[in-house]
Amino acid sequence: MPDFNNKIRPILIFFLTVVFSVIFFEIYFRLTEIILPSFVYDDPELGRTHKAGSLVNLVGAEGFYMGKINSYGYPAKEYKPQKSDNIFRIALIGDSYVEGFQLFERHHFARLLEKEFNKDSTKIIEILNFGTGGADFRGMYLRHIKIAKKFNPDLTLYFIKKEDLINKDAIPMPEPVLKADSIVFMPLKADKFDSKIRQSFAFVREYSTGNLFKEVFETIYTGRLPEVIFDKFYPDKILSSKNNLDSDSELEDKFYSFNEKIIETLSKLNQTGSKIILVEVEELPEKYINLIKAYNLETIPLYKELKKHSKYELNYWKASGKIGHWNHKAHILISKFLLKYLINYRQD
Amino acid sequence: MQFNSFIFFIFFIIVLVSYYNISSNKRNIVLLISNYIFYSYFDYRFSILLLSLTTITYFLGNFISKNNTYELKRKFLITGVFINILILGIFKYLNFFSESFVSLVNLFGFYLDPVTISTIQPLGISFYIFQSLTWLFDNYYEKIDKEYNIIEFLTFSSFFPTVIAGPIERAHRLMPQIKNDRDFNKENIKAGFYLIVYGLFRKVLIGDTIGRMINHIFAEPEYFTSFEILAAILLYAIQIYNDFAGYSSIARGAAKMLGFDIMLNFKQPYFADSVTDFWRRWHISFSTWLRDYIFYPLQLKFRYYGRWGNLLAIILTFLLCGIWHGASWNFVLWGLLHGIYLSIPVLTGQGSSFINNKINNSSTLRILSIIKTFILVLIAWILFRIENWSTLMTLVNQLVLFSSGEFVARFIKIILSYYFVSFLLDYLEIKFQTDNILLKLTPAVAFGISLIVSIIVLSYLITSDKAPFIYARF
Repeated sequence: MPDFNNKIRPILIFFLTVVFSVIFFEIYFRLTEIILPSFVYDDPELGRTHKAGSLVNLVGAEGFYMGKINSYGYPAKEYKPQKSDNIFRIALIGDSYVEGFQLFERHHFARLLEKEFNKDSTKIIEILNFGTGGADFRGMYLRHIKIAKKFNPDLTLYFIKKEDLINKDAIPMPEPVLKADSIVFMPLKADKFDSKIRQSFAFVREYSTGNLFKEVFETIYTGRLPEVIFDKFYPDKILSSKNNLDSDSELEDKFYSFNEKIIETLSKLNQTGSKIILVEVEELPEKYINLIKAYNLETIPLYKELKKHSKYELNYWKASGKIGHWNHKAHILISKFLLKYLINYRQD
Repeated sequence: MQFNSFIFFIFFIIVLVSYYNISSNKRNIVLLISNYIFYSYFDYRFSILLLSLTTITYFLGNFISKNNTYELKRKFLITGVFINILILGIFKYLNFFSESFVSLVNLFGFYLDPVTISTIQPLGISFYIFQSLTWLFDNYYEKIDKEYNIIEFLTFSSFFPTVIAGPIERAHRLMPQIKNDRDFNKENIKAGFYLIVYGLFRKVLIGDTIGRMINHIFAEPEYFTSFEILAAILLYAIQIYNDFAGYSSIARGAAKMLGFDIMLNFKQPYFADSVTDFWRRWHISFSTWLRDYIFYPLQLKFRYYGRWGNLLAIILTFLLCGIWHGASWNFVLWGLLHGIYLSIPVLTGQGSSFINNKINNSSTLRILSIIKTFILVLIAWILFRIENWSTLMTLVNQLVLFSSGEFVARFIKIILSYYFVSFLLDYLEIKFQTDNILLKLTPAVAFGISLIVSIIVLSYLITSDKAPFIYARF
């Protein structure tokens, strides 16, 4: 017994304290929403996608977003897949700019547009946001086909930037392949993941503390830890020299034929009743403009409106002092701009 | 370098190892060099100012102590205070006073261009100047009974644990500790480590995490509902407390590991049952500084005016308290408001309030007094937090809309959780009668908690932007 009291007891108490401390932090993080369990997961069919029903609280880097992924797996306001005849439904497809996790949903251009649209309208207008952070053109197309289409949108808006035409590989997603003149997405496999570790430890993201450690792991894995630790003493050049990707134009050429196929498919879909419009967030390369014209797809030159304003005006976040995604002002501007273009469709 | 940065942790380990591996008579040299490395990390030019100003102050303090004539002592004191305040005025207040004066003149139809200088405010200038001034005052009031060399004084005035944001130490308290030998002591290392861990928890996991959320609400209040703004105000009270109390704990812990005892800066301020009591518990090193070196002399000067003299002394002291925090009208008003709060009991007489007369139960009375005090302090924090008048107007405009928003329940959950943890820590401090609560737990429990807190804090620091200490900008 003396041995137990002197040696084993303190060790037991230590381990119990460690366990209780971890539990305390798990509860504390969830209640204060400092870090929540991950709101995304890697779906074999869809790649990185939103997790239905999860809470989201994103603060810091640019703006402040508080919201929830609805039970159908897209952010915020929930609409069922089925819709009645008096509903005019618009689906938004895009990347983090459309996802809008920098401001409250009530300030997102989708909600502002919906509010304005519904004024003196005989039809009910519903706008569903399928934007996903990190998605490129093929990722957008995948979400359109696999998710958005199920909600029977009358109008689908693709928000495209120049960089979306280069496959970014920013998030895990099924590999698209051309088969018998159509695009097929190969489900994610363990060996196709950017890291097997990611899949093996997917469960840690179900916990707030686990999510924190995952972030730490990613910082170490991507080689950013020395920069964090050595602060001023860390030479900037080390990071930039690691980037040995091809130049933008080379990548554009590489993926042109694939993007062409997507545009061709969208054009076919366009003729089946559900209207598709490409919203040019940035001015696209000429060959793409010609291609879009050739396939009779309509475009909205949003970039022309955005260009009238400075980056500081539309992308500056006051609290963090950073230039980033669209700020509140930009969302108001976009909603007003789109309203002018889209009001005719509602009357149709 | 900031206390919540990896570079500081590396720096501190190197300092500790070299400090204890050198003969005790050379430790002050190591410490002095460390102080200047720490301070120069922000900007080496700030160090030149620090060195020159404190060297002048040292010699003036020496003149005060070595002169026996009251008149000469007084002259040296005034010269020393004047030089220090002049430097503070140039770097911190010149633009503010110049612009305010021109705005006032322009109101009367004249047109003047303000004289402004383009300069960065040296970090912690208000803290190290006030700390250096105690050398002058303590010599003048003959509180210093030993002779100190310049190395000892420069070590005191640039002492890295306190140079950026206090606690503002007194020369008569810290200088003897600098003069004495400080040998390696395991207990000091343990106590200091626990204080640092505790401070990091308060600063990083309470203060910073609140800050990154509410900064957005205060920056653009027009996009938030009344309830969300109210939530931000409530959370700000917890943020500023934990940010500053966390900093003070880290400073005390770092000093402890080097063998120094630094004064306590916070004593559960939100448990105060009056605003007077609040100032006995909040930023104690500064409030007692004001009391000893400003309020008491003013009170003595105005003693013939009775109650009104007291009142004047309080208002003037708190106006200074406000402007010390920043060259901006919101800080002046914040100080004035606290001055008014403290003047009311002087005018009406203690214990004669309506609540005091109606409630007999002392516990209920105390709880109500704590809530009343908290609300008064909270109102004043709004003035402290706003960056300009238009933000204040927008805040007020949004507040009177009485709009709730879609996240009421989530904000309530967040507020209650932060308040619970912050008050729990305060409760434990009261229960254990120390701010070093980990030291009071059994070693296995204390080590287990500090290990997990350290891992979580370091992980959080790796993955998020480091937030500066709020008080470091003063």
